[in-house]
Amino acid sequence: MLFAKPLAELIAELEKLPGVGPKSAQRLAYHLLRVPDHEASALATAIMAAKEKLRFCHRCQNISEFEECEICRDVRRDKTVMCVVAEPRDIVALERINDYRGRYHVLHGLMSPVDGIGPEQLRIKELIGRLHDEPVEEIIVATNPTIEGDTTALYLAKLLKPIGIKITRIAHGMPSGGELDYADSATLLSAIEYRREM
Amino acid sequence: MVTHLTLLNFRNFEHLDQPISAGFTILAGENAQGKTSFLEALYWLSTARLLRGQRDSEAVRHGAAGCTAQATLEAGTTVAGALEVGARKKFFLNGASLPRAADIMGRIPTVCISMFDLSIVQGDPSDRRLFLDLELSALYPAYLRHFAAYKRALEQRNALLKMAQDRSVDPYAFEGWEEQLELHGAEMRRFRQEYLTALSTLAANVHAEMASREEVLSLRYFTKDSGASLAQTRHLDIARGSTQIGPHRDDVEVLIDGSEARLFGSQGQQRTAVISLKLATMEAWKDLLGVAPLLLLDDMLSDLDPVRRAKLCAVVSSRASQAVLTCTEATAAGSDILDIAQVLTVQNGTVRRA
Repeated sequence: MLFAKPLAELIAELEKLPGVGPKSAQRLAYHLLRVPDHEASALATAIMAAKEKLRFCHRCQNISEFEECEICRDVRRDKTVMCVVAEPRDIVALERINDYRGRYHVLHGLMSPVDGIGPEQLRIKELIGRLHDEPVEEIIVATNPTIEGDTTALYLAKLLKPIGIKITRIAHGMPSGGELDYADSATLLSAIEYRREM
Repeated sequence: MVTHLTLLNFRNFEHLDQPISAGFTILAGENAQGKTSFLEALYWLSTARLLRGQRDSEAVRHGAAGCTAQATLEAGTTVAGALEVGARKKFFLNGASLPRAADIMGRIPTVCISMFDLSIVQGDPSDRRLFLDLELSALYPAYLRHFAAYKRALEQRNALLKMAQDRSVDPYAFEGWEEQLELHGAEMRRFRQEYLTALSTLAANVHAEMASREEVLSLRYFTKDSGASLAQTRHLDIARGSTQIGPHRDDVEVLIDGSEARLFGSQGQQRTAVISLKLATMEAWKDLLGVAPLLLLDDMLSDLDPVRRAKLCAVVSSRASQAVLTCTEATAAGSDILDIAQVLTVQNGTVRRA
């Protein structure tokens, strides 16, 4: 046997983590064996505490410590604008710019039948529900400009247009401060396609 | 124009540092000595693919941990590729790593003709689509983008079709994927049809010079679609579990005097048609770029009879600007090319001037 059984189990668990291959899993496992007991148990406790204490905000479906997340509870936030994102981490990115003052809605994925994900697997029902009791006037669809992101945006537009809400899609093209010379052709193509008059 | 090729552990070559002539280069030598590896390296750097659809790992010399290839172009630009066994290939432009392998495409405009290309005339519709898709992707980054988006949307709709066999599926979900397919599919067809129209005229001209008797080569884009939308064929597609219409089912008809070369052409006619077609792609590149692309001819001379061989050499010498040809005997190239070519002998992974 290559590894003692508990070690093999630890490696197998670590390997399930995204971005962790067999080599990294082994390295992490050996590292964990070397650290003092209190550090290892701090990690284990942190994992369990996060699992137990965190839930999804009943409104925007973001990860939250409370029934309603801090953004949704913030009265200074503009209730008439809703930004729809695929993952909670996208909110983190958008919040970093300190500019967007509306609320969010997290879909928890994008439509991808290949992976068995249709509209029913996304938090779309919850989104529709919110439109009944929130004064939303504009929905900004901020999914990634991939085929799955675009198709999910298209689906939302079809679904929500009849309700009479303004639907917008984030722009894509050249990154700010980027150099044309080094941009890949897909980026340049969309920069030309979505050019605007000045 | 490529001025220099450097290889490290690339196929037969442990190490190669070879200046390349501005005009014609003939690589002569016995089989399995490295002639094709030389062409393969140039092809890899221009398309990010190996010939004959081989896996990238086959670029690595037997027993080596990885390989690199670098071409220097006339303006001093370098295009390089590196592959380590078990890792992803990486390409570099002037030493800067490119985010995607596909970004290297078109940096060294190249047309390669080998016996493998006979599949364009003799093979399945998928062989002809592959030919078109590769040509157009290299010529137009916009085509590559539509093609990649179409392919992905097709996988997604097909997965949804299979899902719909067992349970009901939200029609809006279908519409989303279908809109993507129809949008990118229409663009693909527009590119393909325009390209084929141009190619047909160019190929007819080359073929007229090459053919042994007067005959007309033409190309026609062929689609089975009746004009129905994907929404209309949805129920049929659900029953079959796959998308039955669209550019992924289209074909190109290669016609000699109006009848399909695949069915009615002789071996000789088919071979000449393929060479005409490929040389026409070189002309199409030339029209678009203003300069002729690098022409690679892999072992195309040995199987031709002396008359056709002479005609091919005449056409190549009058139309190509830079070309690399492989053959067992340099004399096969004929005096048209031999008189102006740099002749290199390839033996056991080394190259020397003949």
